[in-house]
Formats: sequence, C-alpha cells, structure tokens
Amino acid sequence: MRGKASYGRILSVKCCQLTCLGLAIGLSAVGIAEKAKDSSPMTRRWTTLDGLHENVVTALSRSSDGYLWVTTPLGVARFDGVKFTTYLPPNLPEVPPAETNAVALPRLPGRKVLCALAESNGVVWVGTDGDGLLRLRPRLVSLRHEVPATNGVVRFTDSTGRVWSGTSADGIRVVLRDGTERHFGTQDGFDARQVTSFAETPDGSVWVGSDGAGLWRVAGDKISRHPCHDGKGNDFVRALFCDSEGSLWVGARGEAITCLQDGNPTTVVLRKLAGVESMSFYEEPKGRLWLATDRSLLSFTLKEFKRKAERIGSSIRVETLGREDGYWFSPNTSLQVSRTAYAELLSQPPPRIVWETPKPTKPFPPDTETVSISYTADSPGMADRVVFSHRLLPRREKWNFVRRSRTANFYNLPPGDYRLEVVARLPFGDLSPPAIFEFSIAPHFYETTAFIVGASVFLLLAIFLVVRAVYLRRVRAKLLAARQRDVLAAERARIAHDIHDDVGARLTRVSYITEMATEKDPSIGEVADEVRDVIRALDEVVWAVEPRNDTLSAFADYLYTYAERYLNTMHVRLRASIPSELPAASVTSRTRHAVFMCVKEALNNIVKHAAATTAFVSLSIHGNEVRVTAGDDGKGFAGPREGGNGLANMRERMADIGGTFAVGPREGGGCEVVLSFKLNGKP
Amino acid sequence: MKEKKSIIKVALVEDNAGIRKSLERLFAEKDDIEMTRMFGDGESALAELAALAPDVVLVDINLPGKSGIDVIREAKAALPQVQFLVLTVYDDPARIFQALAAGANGYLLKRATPTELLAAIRDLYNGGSPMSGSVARKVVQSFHQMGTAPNETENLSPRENEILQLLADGYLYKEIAEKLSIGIETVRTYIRRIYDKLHVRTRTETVVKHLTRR
Repeated sequence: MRGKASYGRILSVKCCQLTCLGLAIGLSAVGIAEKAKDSSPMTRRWTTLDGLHENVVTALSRSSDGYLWVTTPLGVARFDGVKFTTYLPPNLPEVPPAETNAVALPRLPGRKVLCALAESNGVVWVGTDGDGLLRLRPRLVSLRHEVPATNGVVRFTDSTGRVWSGTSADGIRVVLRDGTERHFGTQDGFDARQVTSFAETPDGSVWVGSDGAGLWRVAGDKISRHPCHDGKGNDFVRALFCDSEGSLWVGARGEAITCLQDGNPTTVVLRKLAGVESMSFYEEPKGRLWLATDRSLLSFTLKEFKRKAERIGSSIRVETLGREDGYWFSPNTSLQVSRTAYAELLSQPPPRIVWETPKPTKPFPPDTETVSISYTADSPGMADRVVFSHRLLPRREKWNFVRRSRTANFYNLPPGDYRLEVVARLPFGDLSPPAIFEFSIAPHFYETTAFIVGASVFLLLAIFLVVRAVYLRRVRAKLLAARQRDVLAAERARIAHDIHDDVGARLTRVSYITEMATEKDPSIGEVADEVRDVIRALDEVVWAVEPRNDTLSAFADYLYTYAERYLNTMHVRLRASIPSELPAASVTSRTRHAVFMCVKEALNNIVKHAAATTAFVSLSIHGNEVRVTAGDDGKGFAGPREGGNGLANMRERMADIGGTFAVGPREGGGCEVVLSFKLNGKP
Repeated sequence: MKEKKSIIKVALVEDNAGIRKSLERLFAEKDDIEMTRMFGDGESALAELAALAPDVVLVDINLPGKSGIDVIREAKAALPQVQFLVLTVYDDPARIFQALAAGANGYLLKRATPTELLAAIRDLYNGGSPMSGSVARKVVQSFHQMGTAPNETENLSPRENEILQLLADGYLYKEIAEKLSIGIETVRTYIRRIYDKLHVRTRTETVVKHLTRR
C-alpha cells in the first residue's frame, strides 16, 4: 500500500514519536506528492514574512484557550491562526529579513522537522528548521480504496462479492467468488472506452459509469446503456453513488449532478462548482448527501436537490474550497470525505469577532479620506478558514461578502454616524451574531446643525434688519413728506385765515359803510357793488387756498353754492344734479380752481348769451373720471363769439390739469359744456 | 303769518370790533331792531345770554376760543326759543351745515348787503327758516347717513323728503310751492320742521361729526 510506504519514509525523518502524527504527515505527503507540480501546495507555511520572529521552530503546544504557542530559539510566539504575538526577551538582536519570498513549500521529507503537534480536529502543525511553521491539512480525507496504479483500472466489489474492474480498453471484467470470470465487451454492446466508476443499487443491478459513453447497467447477464441525465447533463460520468434510499447519484463533468429514481434522471447543473475534475459522494446517516470535488464541497438532501431541480429554491450549500482551507481531494474518486471530520467542522461554534482597531472615543475629523477598521475572528485553530461579511449602516443594508479580508476600508464618507456590522462563519457553520463597531465622522463646522441654525437665524435677522431699515427709512420719508404737506397746509390755512380775519373783515365793514352811505348818496352805490365783488373774489381765493377744501365733496359743495347764489342773483333757475354721496377723493387746489373757473365762465356765458331761463349743473362720477356739466335751455350754441376767448380759456384750463373740455348742444335743447377730469388719489 | 310790531331784540357775538361797530350803527337806524348787547367772544356771550333773553342772536362762526358752532350748541340747549343766525365770511356749506345742525336757524354771508341782513333778521323773527340748495344737500346727506330713527317722529315724512330733495336740486321755495301746488308758507313750515328734526337727530347722533369731518 502506498500510504504505508510513505509512512515508513517519513518515519526515517527524525521527527516524532507519535504514531498518529507520523500517519498524518504520511497522508499529507501523499497529497503533496500528488500535487507537487502545483506552485501553491495545499498546506500553508508561516515564516518571518508573516510575523513569526524566527524561522526555526523548536516546540509547539496548544493552550486550553485555543492559542498555538510557538517556541523558537529566540523566544515564544502566540498564534491565533492569523497572526503572531511574540514574547521575546529584551535586547534581542535584530531579526535578519527573510531571504526569499519563496512560495513553494518544501517537500516535507527534504526538510528538517524539529517538532510537530497533532490536534484532535486533524490539524497537524510542524515546526521546521529554517522553514518556519507549517500547518499540514486537517485530516479530512481518508483512503477507502487502494489507489489504482497508472493503468487506470477501476475496481469495485459488489454485495455478492463479485469483483468488478474496468479498464480503458478491455471492457469490464467480473470475477465471481468461485473464481470464474465474465467479460463485458463490444460483443455485449458495451463500447465505452474508459470506465470511471461503479455502483450497485438494491435491485442487484450494477451500474457502470464511463468517461464519454455515459451510464451502463448490468442486470443479470446483460449490459445496456441507460440515460444518465435529463438533457441538461453530459455523458462524462465521474462518480456514481447509491444512497440509502436506493437512488442512484451521478456526478458528471461540467458541474452536472443527476439523481436517478427508478431509472428516471433529474439533473441539476451547479455553475458554482467550477472546474470539477474529480468527484466523490458521501451520505450521512440521516440522508444528507455530500459531494466532494477537487475544488468544492456540496451538502444537500434529496428534497433540496429536487427543489433546486424545479427551480424553487437554492438550498444546496456549496463551499468552494481553496487549498489554503486545508482541504484536499484526490484527483480520482478513490478518496472520500471523512464523516467525522465534517461532523466536527459542523459542530464548531460560530466565530467570535474581535476588533483589532480600537473603538474611537471621538469622531473622526471631517474630510477623513479613509476609515480603515480591522477585525479578526477568535476561532482557535480555524481562524484562517473564517469568512466574513460586513455592511456599513446606514449606507448599505446589503451584506458585503468579503471572504477572508480582515479590514474594512471606507473612503470619503460624508459626515454622520456609522455602524459597521461584521458577521463571520466557518465553512458550513452558522453565522456569528453581528459585531458592531460604531464610529462617526465629524461634520465641518459649517455642516453642523448649530451652525446652520445659527447662520439661518443670523441671515433672517440680517434680512429683517435690512427690511426694517428700508421700511423705517420709507416711513421716515413719508413722515417727512407728510410733515412738509402739513406745514404747507398749515401755511395755506394761515394765509386763508389772515385774508378772512383781516382783509375780509375790513372789506365787510367797508361794505356796510358804503351800503349805509348809499341811502344818502346813491352815487356811492357803485363803490358798494365793487366792494362786494372784491369780497367775493377774495372769498374764492380763500376757498382755493384753504387745504380743507381739497376734497371732491367740498368741491361739489362749493360749485353748487356758487351756482345757486350766482344764478339766483341773475334770476336764472337752477336745476342741479349732484350726488349727495361722493367718493372720498382728493382734488388738488389747482384742479378745483381750474374746473371752478370753467364752470364760472360757462354760467356767465349762459346768463349773458344764452337767453336761458334755466341752467343745469351736474356732477357725476364715471369710474375714475369726474364729469361736470353746465347747460342751459337757451337758444343753443352758435359757435364762439366774435372776439370772445372764453371757450379757448376753458379748453386751455382743462388741458392744463389733464382734463377735457367739450361744448355742444344739450339734449332737450340749449347748449352744454362738459368738463372731465381724473381723480388721482385719496384725500 | 302776522307781522309783529314789537321790537326785535338782537344780540351779536363777533370778535371783529369794526364789524361790531358797523352793525351797531346799522341797527341803530332801524326802529324795529334793537341791538341789546354785543360780545367779543363766545364765553362771555354764554355767560350772559340767558339773562338777556334776546329774540335773535347773530353769531360769527370764527371766534377766538370757543367756536361759534359750540356757542350755538350750548346756548340753544339753554334757550330753545331764541333764534340763532350764523354770520360767516366763508361760503362753506359744510360749516354752515355744522352750525345748523348745532341749532342755528339760519345763516348769512357777511358780504350780504345790510338790506339782506335786516331782511334775514326779520324773517327769522317771524318764523322764517332759510335753507339754500347746497345746505339742503347736506341735510339730505345727513339724514341718509343717520338712517332710520327708532322714534318715527324724528324721521322725515315723504313730503318733507320730497321738498328737501327739490331744494337740493336747486328749486327755490316759490318754485317748490308752484310745483307741489302749495303755499310758500307751507314750504317754510316744512323746512322749519326739517330743521327741528335735524336738531333733534343731530343732538344725539355722532354722524354729524363724520359728515362734516374733513
């Protein structure tokens, strides 16, 4: 047996007294020998490049807390599976740097092994003289069958003791218990060139898998080809297995797994399986099936398989295993997964996450480009098999699978509070509860709430103050204007009062005196009339100046009063039409004087030229326009009088104040003057 | 109405000494009018008017201190039988109306001739009640703004309203009398009643202040 040969060879190396260790190393050696052409062997080596302080390891031990203690001529290092913590005496000479960055592991027999440690989980640690610490793969594989020689013969012993062997060229040879032989070849219709596997189902049929010619069934004395997939697979059968239920499992190249129940195939193609060269099935007592390939390990039940085939779910667990995981599978199907080793793997508690980056006591400063948080898993002996997922809340809800990366880097995070959650698990193990690392990035001072609020308040205050200042200035300007108006109005009122109280009173007295004198001397009568006219003219001036009269209502009153008095004196009837209610609008002194003078002129014309008995005076409001008419029932308008310029004056006066003047026949006979002007504001 | 032959006792409230003198001379020449007393300001007039008991008081609107309108309002309350005639330089319907609302029974511009003045005094004494169209407008306006009085007798009757409106439209007393086929004295009576109602209404109402506010 080849394993025994290796064992003996390794024993010659002065490594150990422990048989099991020797066995383990021997088994490893098989693997190494088989995969030696690869540049990265399945085992792993730690040297000074990895933090070990010396490449000479003289002693190894495992403490109860799970750490591996590594003794070197220089000191001791504690190893948690990922990194070393060294305990060295002071004044240690500087450690010379590693000579090379050699990646290829040495062949074990060629190196000097100083010590070794075998653990219950199958891990074997080896201390070397110059090659640092080696971890040999866990004992996950075991030999079940003799590894066939290079002739490629596959052997199988069925339940009745018949020994089957398949060759590449000679068909199938069956040796019965009594020594007689039966040969299946082209004469039986069997034309497969390379037999890869055998299996037996409860009905006594022996199944033969071939590389390229699919699946064959031997029932009784007959061999016949049988479909080995449902259309999705292929005919390159790599492994056959009959489970406890009697279902035949077919593993084929190209990630195809087929289950035959009563001869009916169901195939699932697993893309994740990548690069299947060899396969072997294993069944747990409870029906869970394992499929090991040279790169992956699958775990599923028949039910899960069916669901997958019907595309309902994806319960098939696939673990892709690199060599660094310590797993190794033989390139041919003669090796199978060790049941106990996996059971042990499955029973491992989930790893506990340890933060290597100290938790920050204060927020990171603004504009921190990179936040780098390191963590590891406290899983003695298996720390390097732990895989991680993390997520950064509140940025991303989804977990980010980072495999073995033990550092989470975040770049240019905006200010805020963050929470990094990390979960870990061993292959096929349960997820650990999330470990939480909270940190925050401080905002710039101008991003802080206090600053924004403060700035807003300040801005609002500034706006308020500016608006207030502008408003106050306007109010002040208005007040000033109003005050000036008031001063002007007071002045006008004073002038009006002075004229009234002083000049008016004196003239009134003159009027009385002349009136009384007229009784004695009639020639003075002219003086009396003249004085009355002067008083009237004065009255008009006072009226025009007096600011209290700057309203439309006062203007209407005055107009009416004048018309009434004048026409009464001239014995012409007045018919007035002036609304008793007028809008509270202001009429400037200039406007009312102009309109009044026009009305006065018009009434004068009526009395003197119209030969009328009745004069019609009206005032009406049309929106923003005031219309004043002065008409009569006389002989009608005959055009401007010769030499008279009354109409021209009226037109000019109205134009001066932006108003209009019109003269024409009055409805119902006679003549009418129409004066219009705009109201421009409130009093 | 029967012409009374008795002498009309007149009092004058006027701050201008010249006018006081002129009017004193004017009345001195008349047999039926006697100038009993002249006051230079409203306060002294109010103090003595009650004892004086004149028939007609001429009041200048523009007085130093208490205005003529205030004097009329206070004096009329104490002497409801006395007739008050407002003298004014301004031909200002708003002010005249204020005076009339305060209790004056008539008004006259100072530029009126002595003949007109004497006529007005006699007319007033004999129960006359002058109201011009422009003042009638104000009265219409005030009654309109005061609305309906709770006491029906204080509201204008339809006839009174009609006469007032005609007056406001420029009709003279005699024209109203012709138009309504009534006597001119009847028109006067209506006008007098309108005045009375105006006095009653405006005594309590604040609307007059609004109405005459500038």
